[in-house]
Amino acid sequence: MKTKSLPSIALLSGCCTALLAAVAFAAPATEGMTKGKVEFKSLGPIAFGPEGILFAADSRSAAITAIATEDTEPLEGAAPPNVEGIDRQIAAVLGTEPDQLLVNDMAVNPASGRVYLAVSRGRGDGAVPVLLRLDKENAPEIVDLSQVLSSRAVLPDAPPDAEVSDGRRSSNPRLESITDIAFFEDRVLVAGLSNEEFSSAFRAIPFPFRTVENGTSVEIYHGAHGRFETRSPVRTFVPFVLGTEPHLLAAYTCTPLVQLPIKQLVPGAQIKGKTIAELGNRNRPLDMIVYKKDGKDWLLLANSSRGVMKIETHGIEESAAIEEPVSGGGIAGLPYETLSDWEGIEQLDRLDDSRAVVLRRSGSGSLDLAAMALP
Amino acid sequence: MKLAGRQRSTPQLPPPFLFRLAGGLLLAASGSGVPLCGAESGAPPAQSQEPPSIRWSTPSGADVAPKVELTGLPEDSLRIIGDWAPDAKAWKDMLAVYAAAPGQTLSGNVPAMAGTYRVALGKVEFEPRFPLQAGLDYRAILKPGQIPGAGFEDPEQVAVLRLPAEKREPVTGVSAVFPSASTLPENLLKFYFHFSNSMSRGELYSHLRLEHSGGAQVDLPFLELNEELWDSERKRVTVFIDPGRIKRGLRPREEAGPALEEGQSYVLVIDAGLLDGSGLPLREAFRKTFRAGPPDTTPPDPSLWDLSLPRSGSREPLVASFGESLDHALALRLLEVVTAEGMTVAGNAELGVQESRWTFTPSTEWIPGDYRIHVPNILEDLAGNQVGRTFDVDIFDEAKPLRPEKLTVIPFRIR
Repeated sequence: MKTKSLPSIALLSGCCTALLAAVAFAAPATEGMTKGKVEFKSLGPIAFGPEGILFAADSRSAAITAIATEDTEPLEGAAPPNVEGIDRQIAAVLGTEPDQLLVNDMAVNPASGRVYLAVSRGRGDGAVPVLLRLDKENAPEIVDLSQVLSSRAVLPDAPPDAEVSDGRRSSNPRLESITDIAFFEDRVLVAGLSNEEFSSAFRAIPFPFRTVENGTSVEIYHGAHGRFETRSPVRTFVPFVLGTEPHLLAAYTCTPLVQLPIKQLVPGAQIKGKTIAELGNRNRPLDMIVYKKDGKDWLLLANSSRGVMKIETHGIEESAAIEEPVSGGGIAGLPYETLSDWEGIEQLDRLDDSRAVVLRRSGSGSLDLAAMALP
Repeated sequence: MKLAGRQRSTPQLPPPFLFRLAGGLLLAASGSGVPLCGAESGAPPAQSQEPPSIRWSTPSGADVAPKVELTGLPEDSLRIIGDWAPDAKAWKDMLAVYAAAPGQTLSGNVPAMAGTYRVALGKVEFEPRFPLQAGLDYRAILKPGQIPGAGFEDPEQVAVLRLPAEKREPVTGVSAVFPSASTLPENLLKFYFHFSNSMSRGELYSHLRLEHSGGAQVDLPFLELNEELWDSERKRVTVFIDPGRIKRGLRPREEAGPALEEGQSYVLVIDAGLLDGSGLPLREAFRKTFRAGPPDTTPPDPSLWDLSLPRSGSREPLVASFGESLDHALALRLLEVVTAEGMTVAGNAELGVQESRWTFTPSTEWIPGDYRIHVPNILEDLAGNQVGRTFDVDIFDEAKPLRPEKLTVIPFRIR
């Protein structure tokens, strides 16, 4: 697709969301990639770029790996993705039990419509990261990474692979957990959270990856509660276009929803995002997607305690920033609707123009994968 | 549940290892194989030739994984099978392995375990891709009717392997929690928990709680992140207090009220159910009792630190007293001693006195000269205030960047 096909607000990628690749992409997506085996120390979040390129975050290695999946065409005759007990299915393939499985992320490859899952087989010693996808019959299959084209960007401040042994420190336990990634136009956007300093590390890494420039972190602030929350980490985000201007919608760990122009994401910048909604306390944002329906633009945001919220993003640019204390339960800003039939959603991604794919925890505790009509 | 590694599990199979199938049949396994043809299926196939059979091969070598062997195949069948692509569906239609908890019935739509098929030395072999897990049944199922070029008929044959679950006593405990003080600012930002062994991920917040001294639980005090902020060895985890629940100024941040309030006593609890890296619970629950004190809204100021200087020619420690507790991880990681030439001085740093005193012992004797302590400005106190910057401030009221410099330098001289 080309830029001209962009709707006024339309969605590009997202957290764990797919890119509709609605932008011109100058260099071949596989530029600079080499063929070989791809290995991870940890896997997820994941997101798709153009031409079936998968971006996989490896927090333990402080790296993003771009993988040419060669999955670039729709799978003929594929069933709609609906799998009850996807956790049990995956565990069976991995020869283990669902309680030994951690599903770290899910993403739809927009080039093929296939669902990919980043999991950990095991939770403790001997845990193995595994990338799977659904085959034609919706059975999970392990993606063979033994001979693929890939490239890798190592984040700045990466912890050393080996222990530092200069006698002064025995090791560097600092680790940055990558909380979300997305591809936008020509860069990979990465939100991370350190296990030491409490700070917002948000990076824009040019893609194809260059050897030197791995992106510089920017600090994004948001107004909330009458004061500026500084350094709070972005939990999940989605790029989208307002008019012709690319923006980010970012949800913080403490639930303000913030909007900012992507062009402000320049190395070393201190950016103040506009807080457009306050989604309340005791609530963690989990995942979000944007879509268009009935001529309007919508945001779906999955939360830990409020279910999935549907927010109309039309008029976001005119909405007033929230800069005053929010009282009475802590919800303010853009109006939203909580979708009663979208309970237990842990992961979201767009499947196509009219459907989303979700991972939802059922009442019995099993994890189901389902295609749902966008509300 | 423990994930059995190949190295650990295989040699521990007692020869012969006896176990019971769902049908009540006791089957013997030895260190060299598990002969199980037709174990659950009743009559063997009605063939005139020796029927094919499957068994688990469990070699005793530490690095050799158990695998399934299919023997007794006619030459024609082997030739056809040898031409199958490695990922052909026909392999699984003929021979597949299913993992299940003992006693669990296999449902029709559960996929087979991933692994590698090959033809070798007149046999078909299946090697599971992942190590087998102790305590689970690995059920190899052969469908003779799917063997090409031979005209065998079902019923299917089953061979089950179960690696015995090890019975072990819990060995892991909480080795330290920082901050270590018993009075902590009510705007405390985080805790670090150190464990004596590597831990499992995924259930941290189910086993972690904050209680009032009376025993009532503080509701959702922590920032519960799916990622769980472990270090790469999974021996230390960082837990943030939910920033929305930290009291600022005169009022709590949220209507829910602050997680910690000055004057109140609390107990931080990790129950014994948290699993270590080998799947065992902790030796015992961990409890840290502390009192919430006044908020700390003052950034750390290295210019106020009290230095105790060593003598030249000695390996006496350089001691910096902060006058307050600082973040354990950041103070240990960030502070450096640098020579006038800019070389980092090698040595060992420790924190003491409730993380308020930094003691640096050099690897070699101090040489007279000028030195500096480098204090990166991301160093935090217990409330997340950084050098020159409070945790929570309106930086956009400032016309210039609040803190352009990244480093504060404390000069000192060894005479």
